[in-house]
Amino acid sequence: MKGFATVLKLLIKNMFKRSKSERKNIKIFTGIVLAVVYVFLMFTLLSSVISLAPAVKEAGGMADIITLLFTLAVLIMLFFGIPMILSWLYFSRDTEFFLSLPVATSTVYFAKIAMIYLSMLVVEAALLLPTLIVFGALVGVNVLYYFVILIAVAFLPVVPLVLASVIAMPLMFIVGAFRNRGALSSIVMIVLFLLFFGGYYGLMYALGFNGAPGGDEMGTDMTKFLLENKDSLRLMSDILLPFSSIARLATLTPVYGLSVGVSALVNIGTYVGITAALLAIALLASSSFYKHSVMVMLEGSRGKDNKAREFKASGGVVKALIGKEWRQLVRTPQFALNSFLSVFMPVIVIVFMNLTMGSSLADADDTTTQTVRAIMSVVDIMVILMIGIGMNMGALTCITREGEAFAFSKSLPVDPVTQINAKRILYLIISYVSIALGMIAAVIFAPDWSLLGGLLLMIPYNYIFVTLAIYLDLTSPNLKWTTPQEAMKRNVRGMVPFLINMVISMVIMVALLVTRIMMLNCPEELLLTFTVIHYGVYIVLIGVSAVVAVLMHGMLKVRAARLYDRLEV
Amino acid sequence: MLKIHDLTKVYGKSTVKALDGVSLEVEAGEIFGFIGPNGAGKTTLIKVLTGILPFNDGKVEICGEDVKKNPRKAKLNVGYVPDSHIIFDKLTGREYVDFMADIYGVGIDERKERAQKLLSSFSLTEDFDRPIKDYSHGMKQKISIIGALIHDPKLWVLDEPMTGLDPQSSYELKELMREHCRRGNAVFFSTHVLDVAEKICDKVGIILKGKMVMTGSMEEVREASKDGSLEDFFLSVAGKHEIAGMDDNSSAAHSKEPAAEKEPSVGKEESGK
Repeated sequence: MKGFATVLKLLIKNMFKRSKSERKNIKIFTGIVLAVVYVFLMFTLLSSVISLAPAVKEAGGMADIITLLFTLAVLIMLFFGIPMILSWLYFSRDTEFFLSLPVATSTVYFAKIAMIYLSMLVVEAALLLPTLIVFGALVGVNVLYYFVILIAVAFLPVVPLVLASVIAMPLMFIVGAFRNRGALSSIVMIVLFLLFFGGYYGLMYALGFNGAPGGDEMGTDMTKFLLENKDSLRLMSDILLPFSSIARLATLTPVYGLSVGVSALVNIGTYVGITAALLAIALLASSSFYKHSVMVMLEGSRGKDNKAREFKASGGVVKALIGKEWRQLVRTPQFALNSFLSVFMPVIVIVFMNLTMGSSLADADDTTTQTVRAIMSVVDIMVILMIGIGMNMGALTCITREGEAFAFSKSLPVDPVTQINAKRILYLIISYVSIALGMIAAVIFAPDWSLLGGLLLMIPYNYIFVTLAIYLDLTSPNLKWTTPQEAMKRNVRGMVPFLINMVISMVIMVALLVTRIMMLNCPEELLLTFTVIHYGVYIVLIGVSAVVAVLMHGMLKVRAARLYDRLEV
Repeated sequence: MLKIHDLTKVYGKSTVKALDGVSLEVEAGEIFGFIGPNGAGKTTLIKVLTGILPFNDGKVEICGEDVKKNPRKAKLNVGYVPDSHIIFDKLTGREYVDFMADIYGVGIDERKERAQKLLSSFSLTEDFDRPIKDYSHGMKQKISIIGALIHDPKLWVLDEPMTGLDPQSSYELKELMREHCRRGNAVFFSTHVLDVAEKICDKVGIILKGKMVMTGSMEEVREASKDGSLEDFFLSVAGKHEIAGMDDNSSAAHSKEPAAEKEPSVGKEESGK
């Protein structure tokens, strides 16, 4: 493992180092965004354990709750771990550089794995440690608990890392066999994302069917819930080894009818044994596979020799520009994943949200069902506005993603307005597809006339958003990036339209919901008035959006060339 | 210093030989210029001898170490300047050079002394503590060269090293190559720029469609050519083979490099690899 520390140091420096030339306000903005996200997550976690603690104190089962927390953390790390492993190990641009150095491939592999481990550890520890400490303090545990959770948190990323490495192997084997690996990897990553969210919502749905109490019941009678489900929770913990072992060790929970002392030893043994065995087997296997995979990547496709392809008849300048933009998007997995999430996410969220709501309405009367469906249709509209339109990362980063290749675009004998227009057409198409898919899902699960109003609103609204996103990225793109991750995620400007849309979507949802609820609950003599008000809101929103869309179109048309020419690479 | 014997390289399951029975030798104190048109196999050969790519048949030895059997020992003797930029560009020049020195086990005093000398040669001292991402194309090339020389390798391998360098730096690089060889080391570099090869090389090799069509000293080249120039010799050799193999795709280099052009690019710097 000679050179391990040196390689790891290099990777850490290159990942976390910030350029001094990076503008101060961007650093501050990034810090604020991170802090807000962290505070929000901590608020959610802490409020959960604060509400759980009294019930756990009374009913017991702390080890089971900690096991569930660990499992949740592991699932999240696993979800983010697979793309990290794919991009760090298999699609990394540093492969040739490291191969030319007198350092073993396995050393580079382990340094990269350590890097991923550290990245996971930092995020996981920042979220889990305060949660577990507060939980322990509220329930009232012994000192050993605090010591053990430190160890548990430190080694928790081992399991998702191992699982992610194992999952990545067959993925890479499949991807390596194809010529267009970028596009295929993009599809694989999107499918993984869909599986994760599908699985998550599926689990929630299944829990609903199994008679687990809903949100209100859990809040009001948690002790009863814990006591009634003690056996189920214990059974779940028994399966979720080794997380339950360390959780039981921390809470000194006896196992298999043994004394507390012997149980502690058994739990230590189980935890260390399973973790070490998983680590050893998976790392050895994936280290060997890594060498093989790296060679496959460098050698080119294992398939056939290159086939000569025919030139296609010219489709014109705009079509050629759209084609270039599209290929750049789909052939870079990071770009594709982030850009196409907005297409698939609304469908997943709408389907499972409506399924979950539908199951809870099984015994409800017609009026309640009708009311909930009407409200759900408005919520579906908001989901499409917020995710389908607002998360159009392709539009938000359309100039940034060009990076230094922007020089090439500038060298083209095509005027900037045409170039920008080609981008706008592509990203409009992508988000109109998102809208169409989301609407189909909404119509199937919550058919309501208000969806038609929502659709008419989204047509100009989407145009405004795409135009604004392109305009803002054009004003100050980050063209100096080396990894797609930087282009997509370290792009503060890209957050602005996203946040603006989030606020506007909420306002629209509140306006539509309030008027709809008033319409549903008003006395009969006022029904016409409130119906007019509700649909009037739609008409006003559609009208305003159409006017703003026209204004935005004009603004971009007038300023695109000047902004474009101002940009330097 | 470098011995390549009957080297064959086929990419993946391709039926095309990217390198077809290549043999050559570079002795200590020699500068070897490796020339050929685009897609001829120059970069493939360099990647094989630096251990980046595996090969199918043949033998590659660097300072007596078999690249296949003892890759790490072989690589310790090599300083490699690729044709692409350093990707760890958030590091400063100093951090990058420090990393390379750590990897090759160069002591603090040695690295200071070598870095200072090289930085001063390339006029890069003032920019040494700036992030590489803020460097110009030429500066990135220079820091890559400094990183490759920090352990004073016995064999210095460069892939199209003149690309992006200003005339002064280009001159300095040629001087460094000569100086490196004077101290008993060897230099192996690929280039399209025949003038450069002609001026500084002791030996040249011409590769076409994966096959070495000629290796020899500059004296031999001058004697063999009509007007005594490498350009004339290259065009006569390359042109002959191009015409002979015009309809023969069997030895074309792999698609990792662009397809071989009908006319080799000569006499000007090109980065379009």
